[in-house]
Amino acid sequence: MITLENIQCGYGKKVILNNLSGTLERGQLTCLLGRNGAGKTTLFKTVLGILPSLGGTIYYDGKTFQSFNTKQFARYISYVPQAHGTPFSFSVSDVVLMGQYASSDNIWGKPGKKNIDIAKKSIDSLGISHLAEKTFSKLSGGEKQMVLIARAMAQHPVFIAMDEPTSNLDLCNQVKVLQYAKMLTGKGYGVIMNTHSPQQALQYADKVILLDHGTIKQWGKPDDILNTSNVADLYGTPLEIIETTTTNGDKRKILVTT
Amino acid sequence: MLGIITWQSLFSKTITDMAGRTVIVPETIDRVFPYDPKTSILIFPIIGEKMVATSMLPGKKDFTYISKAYTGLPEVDVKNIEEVVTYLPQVIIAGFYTKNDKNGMVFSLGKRLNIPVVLIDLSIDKMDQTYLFLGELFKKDSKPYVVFLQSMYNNIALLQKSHSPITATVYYTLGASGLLTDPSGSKHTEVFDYLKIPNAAKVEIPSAGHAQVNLEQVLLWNPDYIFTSAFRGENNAYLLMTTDAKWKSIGAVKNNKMYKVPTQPMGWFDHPPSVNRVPGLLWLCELFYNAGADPTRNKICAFYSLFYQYNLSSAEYSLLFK
Amino acid sequence: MKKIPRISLFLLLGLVAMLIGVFSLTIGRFPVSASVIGQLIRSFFDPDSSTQEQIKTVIIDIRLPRIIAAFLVGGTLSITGAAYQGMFRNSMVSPSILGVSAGAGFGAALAILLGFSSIMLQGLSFFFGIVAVVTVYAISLATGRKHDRCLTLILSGMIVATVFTALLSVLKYIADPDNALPTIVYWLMGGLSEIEKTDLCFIATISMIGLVILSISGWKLDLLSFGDDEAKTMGIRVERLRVTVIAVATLMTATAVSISGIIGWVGLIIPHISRMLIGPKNAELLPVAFLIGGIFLLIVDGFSRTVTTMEIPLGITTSLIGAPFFLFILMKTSKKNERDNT
Repeated sequence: MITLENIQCGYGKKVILNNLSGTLERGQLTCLLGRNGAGKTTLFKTVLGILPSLGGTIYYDGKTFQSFNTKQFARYISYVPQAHGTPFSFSVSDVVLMGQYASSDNIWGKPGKKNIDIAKKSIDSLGISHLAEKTFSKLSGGEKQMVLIARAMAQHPVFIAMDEPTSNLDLCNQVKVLQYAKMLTGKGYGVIMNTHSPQQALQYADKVILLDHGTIKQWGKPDDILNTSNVADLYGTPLEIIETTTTNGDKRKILVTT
Repeated sequence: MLGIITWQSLFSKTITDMAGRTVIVPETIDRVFPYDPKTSILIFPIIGEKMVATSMLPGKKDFTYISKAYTGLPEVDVKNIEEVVTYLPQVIIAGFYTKNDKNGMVFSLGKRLNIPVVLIDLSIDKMDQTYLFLGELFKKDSKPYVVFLQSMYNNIALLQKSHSPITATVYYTLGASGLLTDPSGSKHTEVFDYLKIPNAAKVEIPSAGHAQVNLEQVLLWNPDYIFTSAFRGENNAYLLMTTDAKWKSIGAVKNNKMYKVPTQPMGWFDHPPSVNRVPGLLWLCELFYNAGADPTRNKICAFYSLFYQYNLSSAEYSLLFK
Repeated sequence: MKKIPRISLFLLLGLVAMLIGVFSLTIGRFPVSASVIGQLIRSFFDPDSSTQEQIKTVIIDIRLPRIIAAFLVGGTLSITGAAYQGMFRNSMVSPSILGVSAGAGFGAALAILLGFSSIMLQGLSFFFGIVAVVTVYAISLATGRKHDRCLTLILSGMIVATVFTALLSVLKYIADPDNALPTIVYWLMGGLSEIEKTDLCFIATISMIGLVILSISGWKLDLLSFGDDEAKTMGIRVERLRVTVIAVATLMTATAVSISGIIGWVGLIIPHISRMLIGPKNAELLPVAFLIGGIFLLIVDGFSRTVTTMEIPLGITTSLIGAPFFLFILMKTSKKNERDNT
């Protein structure tokens, strides 16, 4: 698990977030909610080690960031960014294989057969084998996102951090991605996800974090935390969280703006 | 100051310069500005005392074997118009080689300073005419210079008549690598063309300037004589050619017919291409037309004494070639 | 373009390089017939047969070093261009982007102006090439906190290059137009006519070592093409990789420029062509770029030194030959792209 103890996050000397404490568990999907500019990405990057924390300590399975070397850390937590292109025409297999760099035995990172096999398995498990030889930058947004998830999985990490993975996707792809994220937790991965949609959190998250005014307002189960007042406060928008029943008889909470 | 000049210009005369232009100049001219180094050195012996300055010869820092009257003159960058004005010249003298030479820059300078421009002929075979002209214009005695030059021209014609055409080829190079040359037709090697000494470097593109070649080409040309233009510092093609094994199969190197071109006070072949080439012509006659070492030395010393107003001792003469 | 299988491409390129190299030995201003070359080769094995001294000089002392140098310089410029394109995630980048050429040009002009020997000329040119890049890196560190590292490197490169170019212009201005200036101008236009065997040792060592280091770093460079942040999360020490690539590329390029003058275009275009042939994976792309670049410059230099009496500066021939060639390739591939996309 990842434990945050009184973390301060920011850029350079400027502190944006203060007093962040809590635990991220394996096998759970934790959603990070907050307004634009609340500092979600900053927190993300700090947990991922891209930005140094400006105060406090983060413990990764009890160890600090400094006690890992870069490859070890890459094998602990991996990153799924928002889908974007690259100027070069790497194939999907090339891209997913990059996830295995941290596991390569070769000092220069040259992938061996073992690495290639693991990458292939990652591609297959997401059902995108038909894309393996296609050029990554020519894929659609949804397909690209899948590939990036496959790459993050190929890194064989303990945690996977997904940065607004559904932002540029149509509905069916959004659902796909979220279901995969849930499936990953079923396999034992810990997933942290940045999202703009409290609805997604309501439906899929095991834990949610509400980020507001430079600190964590709430951290806990969605059922406990995602109620009308908390969410309306967070976004400063009138809305209601209503409980309803689907045709299957499942009780579900949905968010409606008023 | 301006008052004096305008007063003087009341007394003016109309002349035809060597380019056939009609120019109005003051009756008595005491302040002359030579437009460039090639003009400076040519007019110095005859009207040196009227020169207000010399034009800068870029890269040249020391002038030896020439009268202090020359080295004492201030050096002026003709691009700095204000500086030119401070010397209050009455006339600008500039040189040309052919009637087709464009002298736009000179004329615009003259226009801006409101000073007449007089053009003189710097052709290598007409320098006697130039001194004659200058003598008439400035009411100076040009005889010694004219006589010297005419006797040289006559002598050259005689030598060429009595001597079979030169077949040996020369290769002229500047810079350290020995591969930067001036082909036939370039102003820098005009002395060879004038004396009908074949320049080994012949290039397709009519080049008025330099040409870079590679060593294979030089080997192919296989010149019989090599002249290196002296270059500052350790960069010395002469040294390279004598020590580097790749050059040794060339005729000139094998037979030790390699010469450093003297440069004091000015280059003997060029730099600038003006009257300073006379010693070069005399020297080449000695090398190629059997002109005799002693008479040549005497003539060259006479030249230095007449045109540079410097008496060259025999020790200094030998030093020129080092 | 279909991607050709790796091994066969390497072998093919190696073979082509050798063939062209041998062919280049036979061309030049000095007429050398094939039979003479045969004689020369024989004379190495058979102490009795001998060849004319001059021919030996031409082939062994003049042409051979030049051919090897052309290959190495072309290879160096291409591989460093490809490495920088990968590092900056931009295929419009060339090896001179961090100012090494501007610095080297200034150093050479300074040496010519001061009348230094040719060894000192190369030394000074090399030295200032390195100084330029070190300055660029230092500036980018000092200003890079708030901005994207790659952007600050490129901007610093522009600043330093501008300064050195201006200083170079000053030197050209005060140079003697009859001696130093033409020498400077010709040097800047690029050429290998003055190559010596001793130069070869220097460039051969550096380019070979550089080739190995850069090719080996290829896997890591691939990851860098997704951006610093993602590369870090995949386990790359980004700054260390960048410093390595910049250091090696700068040493290689400074060496090449100090020997051959400024040759543009090769470092920009050959990586493109190589990428079309073998794809973007740097571990393969970099050595292929080296080979193709070496072959290209070999051909172009053969042209430069043979076609006319005068040497055509390499910087000119690479552009005049390379530009239409690249246009041709672009047109060919764009037609194919159209077909693919419809």
